Amino acid sequence: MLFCDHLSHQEALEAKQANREGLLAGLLTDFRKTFPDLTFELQLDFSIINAQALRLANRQLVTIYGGLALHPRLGSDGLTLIVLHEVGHHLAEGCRSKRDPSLACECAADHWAVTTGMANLRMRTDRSLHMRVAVEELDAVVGPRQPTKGKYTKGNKSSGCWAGGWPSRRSALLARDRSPQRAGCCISNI
Amino acid sequence: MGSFINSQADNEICEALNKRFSDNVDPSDSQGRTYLAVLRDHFRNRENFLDRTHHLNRVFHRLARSVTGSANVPRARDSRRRWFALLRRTLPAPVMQAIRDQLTAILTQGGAANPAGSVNYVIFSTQHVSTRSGTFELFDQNGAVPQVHTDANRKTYCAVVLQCNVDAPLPDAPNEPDPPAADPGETTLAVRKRPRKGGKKTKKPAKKSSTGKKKTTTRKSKAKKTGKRK
Repeated sequence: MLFCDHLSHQEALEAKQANREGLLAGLLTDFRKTFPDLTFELQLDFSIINAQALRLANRQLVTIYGGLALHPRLGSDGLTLIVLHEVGHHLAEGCRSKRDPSLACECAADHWAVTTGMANLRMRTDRSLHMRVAVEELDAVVGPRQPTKGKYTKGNKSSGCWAGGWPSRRSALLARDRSPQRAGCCISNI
Repeated sequence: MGSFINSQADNEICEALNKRFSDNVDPSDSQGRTYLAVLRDHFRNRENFLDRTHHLNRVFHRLARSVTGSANVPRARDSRRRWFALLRRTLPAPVMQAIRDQLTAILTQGGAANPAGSVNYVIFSTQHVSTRSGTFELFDQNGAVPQVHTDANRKTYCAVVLQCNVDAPLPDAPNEPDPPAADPGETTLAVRKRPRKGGKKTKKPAKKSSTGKKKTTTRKSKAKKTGKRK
């Protein structure tokens, strides 16, 4: 996370004034109710535009950093999808992340988020997720930071991994029915 | 670490370290040992690269290149220099010492007194969080002993997590030495050779000297030349 983009101070200030903190509080309440075994943390003092799933000291952490939480282009749907994805890293089965084998890979986390995760959240809290709205919100935030071509992945088209570029990831999120590979996630940076 | 938006340089750094400390079989090892087993052997029998005469930026550079073959990590030069500067001078001394201590525990002989020395693999990660010291810390509070966990497959692992209290990008370091200067007493870490594109090249047999023989053209090669197909 040392090399992530940061949200400007001005944008963060505007979001706080627009009662974003109320929206975030409601969101976290619903997630804590639905997934009580996980620890959800909001780190508004850090302007990193990202969220993170991490296992630390036997705790399953989901952290949303200020840059994403306060991002002016993100609303309730975009944030819900982001947090569901992070929960998916902890709870999805199947393919493991190369960077941390204790977590599910990107595709498995995405697929879990828009199927099982979304259903569980709706069942426990009545919070619904409008996928098209969420994806449109994320277009402006993720798109420029996750280009399509091979920058982030080694070419391995046969694996079926869609997490390398935002357009393929976007399509997979909207389609929902496309399940990820069981093994062999192609996200590899070295 | 799972993040919603890929951060290229972060991922490259963590992935290189994770692989070097992984339980994947090291393809360059003739005995078929894992990357971590080979590294432990190197550390115990050839070179203590975590003592005070070795610099962490150089150690990282060598560890990373031992899994990439020849590529530097991170690939982007500016990011790489910023990362080297962090390891060489920005990290507070207690953090550097904690890194040396935790990795030493992982690489030295395991047993009841040192469970970290027997773990199957290590995960490296970063986390942005308020720390007690108000600056960087190695989890937990720069402790010398890494925590040992067990994963769903009953494998044991350690998580080495650099915690960052600073809400700012790493400063540019255009004058940072890249690659870092060699430390005294270095011995070569086994390096994975990059496979050539198109597979292994076999040595062509030496050309026979021309004895004035005419080349005979077979029907097959003729068809090839003219582009005809059956």
